[in-house]
Amino acid sequence: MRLVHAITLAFVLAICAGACAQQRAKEQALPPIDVTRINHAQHAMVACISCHKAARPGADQHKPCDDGQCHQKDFLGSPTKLCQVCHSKVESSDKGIVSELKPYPVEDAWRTEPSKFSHARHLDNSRMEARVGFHVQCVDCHVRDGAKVAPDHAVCARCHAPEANLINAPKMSDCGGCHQDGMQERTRQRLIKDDLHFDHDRHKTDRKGKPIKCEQCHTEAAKSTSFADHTPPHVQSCVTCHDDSDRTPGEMRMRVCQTCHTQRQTGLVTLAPRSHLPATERPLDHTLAFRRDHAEVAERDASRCATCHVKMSGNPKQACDECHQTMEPSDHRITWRELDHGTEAAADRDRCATCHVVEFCTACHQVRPRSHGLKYDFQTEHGRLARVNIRSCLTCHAERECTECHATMTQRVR
Amino acid sequence: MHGVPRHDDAEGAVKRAALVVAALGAVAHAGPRPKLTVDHEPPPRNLKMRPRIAQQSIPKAKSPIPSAPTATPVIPSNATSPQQDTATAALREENQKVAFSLDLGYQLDSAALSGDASLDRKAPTAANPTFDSFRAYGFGEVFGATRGVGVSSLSTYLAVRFQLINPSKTSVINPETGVSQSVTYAPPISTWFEKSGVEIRHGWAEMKDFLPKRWGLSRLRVRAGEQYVYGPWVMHVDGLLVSYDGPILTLSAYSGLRHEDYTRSQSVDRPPIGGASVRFDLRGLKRALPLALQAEILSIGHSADAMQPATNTALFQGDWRPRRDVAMIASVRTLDGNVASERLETRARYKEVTNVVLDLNRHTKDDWRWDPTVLVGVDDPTAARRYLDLGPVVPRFVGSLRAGTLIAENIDLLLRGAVAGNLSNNDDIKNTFLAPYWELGGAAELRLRRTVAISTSALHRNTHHEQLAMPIVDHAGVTDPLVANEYRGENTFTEVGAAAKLTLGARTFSTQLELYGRKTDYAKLYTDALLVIPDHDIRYGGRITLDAWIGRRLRVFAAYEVSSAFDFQPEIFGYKSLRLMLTGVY
Repeated sequence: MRLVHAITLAFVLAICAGACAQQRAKEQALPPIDVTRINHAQHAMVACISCHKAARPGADQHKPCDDGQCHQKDFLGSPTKLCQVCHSKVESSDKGIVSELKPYPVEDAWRTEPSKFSHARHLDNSRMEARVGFHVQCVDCHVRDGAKVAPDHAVCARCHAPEANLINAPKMSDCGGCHQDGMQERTRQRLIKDDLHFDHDRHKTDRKGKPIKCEQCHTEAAKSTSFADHTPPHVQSCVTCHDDSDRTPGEMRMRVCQTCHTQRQTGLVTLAPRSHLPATERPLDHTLAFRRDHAEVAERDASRCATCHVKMSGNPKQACDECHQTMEPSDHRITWRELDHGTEAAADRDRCATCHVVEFCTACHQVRPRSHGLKYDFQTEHGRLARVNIRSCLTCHAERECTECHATMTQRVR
Repeated sequence: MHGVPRHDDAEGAVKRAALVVAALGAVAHAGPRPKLTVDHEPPPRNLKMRPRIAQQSIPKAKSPIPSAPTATPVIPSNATSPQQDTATAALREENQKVAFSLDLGYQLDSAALSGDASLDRKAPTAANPTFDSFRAYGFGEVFGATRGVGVSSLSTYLAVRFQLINPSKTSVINPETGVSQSVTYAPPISTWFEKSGVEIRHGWAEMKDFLPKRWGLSRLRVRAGEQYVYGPWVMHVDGLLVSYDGPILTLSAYSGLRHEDYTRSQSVDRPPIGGASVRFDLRGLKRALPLALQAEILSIGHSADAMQPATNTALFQGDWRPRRDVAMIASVRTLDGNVASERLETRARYKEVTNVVLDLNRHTKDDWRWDPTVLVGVDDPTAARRYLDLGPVVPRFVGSLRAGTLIAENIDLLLRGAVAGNLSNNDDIKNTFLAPYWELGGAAELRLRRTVAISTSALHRNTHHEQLAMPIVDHAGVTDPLVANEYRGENTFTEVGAAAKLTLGARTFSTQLELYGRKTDYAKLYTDALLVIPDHDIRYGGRITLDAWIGRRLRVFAAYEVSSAFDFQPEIFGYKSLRLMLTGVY
């Protein structure tokens, strides 16, 4: 027995070691903040329009940055760090002043995002139609010339500019409609990161040419009321399609890690994160321990049980037996009924009683077992079997039954 | 180094004027003009072309029977993960108004003859069978549930099982009377599947939210019909349940006739049952206390057929949750005014997947024998038994510890141990069915791939019976004494198992292969100079199951199971079983 335990333990440890040996790509931290970037929080007292009159603030002869009450002295002396807000470098040369501009707008993790932008508001068809007479879909903002783009001011202006003449739509000049003063600026979480690769263009249609709707992956987008709560797609969205042979070719199924990961190979022991399991895989908390001690969770919300376990009413109250009367424990094997259950019942009868009442025992124990043969056959030759485990006899028979017979019989009783 | 050159004001003014003129005159693209005002794309035509679909905001589907706060507050878990949402949504809509399921099954059991003699020296043959070596039966289950059909506050549930079997019969001659009579062959594997019939397990209707909200009346719930009621024990009754499920106070009362469960009725005697419970959950107070107090009573009437007296059971329970994931539940149960059992259960959870449960129980000699319906033994051996008599109750302590966790989301571990000891004095009667023991077990499941998992389990139990100084020597032709109750039974029991499972998720396709082995060592009670009496039994077996869904409505299930030969039953090779089942779900 010890050998079996040792082998089992060694096996489990070996598997664990092999699994842990596979290192996952670690999430890359956000790049450090460029200290030369303008800090909007420090300029919260300045009206947006003061700087954003032009496409690029300061393009008009450094106005209004060089205002006397602001940074005038920085524009009159030697170049300072302030220059690096817009210029990569400022230096004099034979040809004059060299002042190469940085790209604008800056497309990095610290760009200013439309903190207040609400997808929910824009994708509420009835609300949109009531206010402006039409509704929009994802592609109206996110696709230009057939290619996916990140919406910018130009996209917003198509509806919010005065020329659009949408009276009930907020105006482009209302910067606060999208941007929140002093809001910490950082990019939101992304699903595609590390060694993942993804191409929107390859996800326009599925294997059979059926269009893939944006909301199939961006399930939460329509509920997002601000930029911060706009969560990235869940991996389960990927699983739903990539486990479906009708929608995904075999070489791109979820079981093939390389479909999405460039640094991860499909091996014998490839421990997939829980999120990568089949969409209808049992929930995370349904562990081995849970299967033994789940009463508390089931009492709390039996209707949750009923979403997967059919044959339940779905009623949230007093429903334990709807399952306990139909689901057989895994140890109730073929030998359970005739050979195994006795020892278990003797050790933990409360466990039996979880599902069975006493009549259930008697219903079986009234049936003549196969070992007893036909009626009357067993009366004279049961001794040897009884001596092996007399307790099994006395489970059904009373001791008095034995003694009454044995005391009166004169013939050999074995 | 020079300062930043600047144009003088006059020159700048001229240039700006020129720019304005140019902009007004030619609407030229003038470099740094703000996009916000001019440089935008015209609104795409399709924005205006979309038809007014007149969609209304669809309110979130509301259950006609909104869930009331649970009467038994429990350890809150972390928020449901998005995965769970996805998974559950894919299977069944929680607010589905009608749910229906039908199972049709067919099972074959067999115990093939080996040709060897049994331990009683009989050698059954195919020509002269003593039991039915092959048996087939059909079975089925019907489930139906409605929510808010017809009346928004009404829900119903029906669960029925049925079976169909035609047992083989033969005729034998009664050696005492010499009269031939028809008897049924014993089945290859003993079960209660010996009668055809229909059994209703659930059949109730429930009304909720049918009263106005004033004074909290809407929290009243009434359920009538064949149902299970949850008191000091779960009881199957035909009756009525009235419950008030409030955030602080929970009240319930029930009454009905007891129903035999999961078996053919063996008696028309159905004792009356009545009970009530009250629970105060102090967590619902404005100044919440992490404590809930509960009291329950259960009264069962006299049963003439079972020869059981009327009883009154009471349960008092305190539920203390000092921390979010820690619970301590203490309870005392009384039977006819005497303390029957005490229990202390401690539960702790960490990050949803790590669980520890410590369960301590003390049973007194006044406890019931099995459940509230069995209290006293019946000495008359000729009396029809309606329950299994496992001997008198022995004062006993049972403690168990179970702990499990999930490592790296893929390695599932469970460890469990238990110990039971007698609390009786030496003079008290002992019971082999309540012998002291300790056990240690564990299980591990490892997900090798997304859809493939292997698992292993082990359990060892050591039972402490009284040991005979030396076995009884069996003399031929002499009535040997029966060993006393406390000496009987097994000494040790060990089981190991392993399984491999492939699953594509619930309601898709899954298959599993299980292998197991068991060894039981029995107390050596008898010896025989001429015959070897085995004192241990080693057996093993396996099972393969296949579970496939065809679409979302039809399920096909098959299981094939075999066992090895048995040391104590040399007349057969072992058991085989094939189970086929077809399920339709609506």
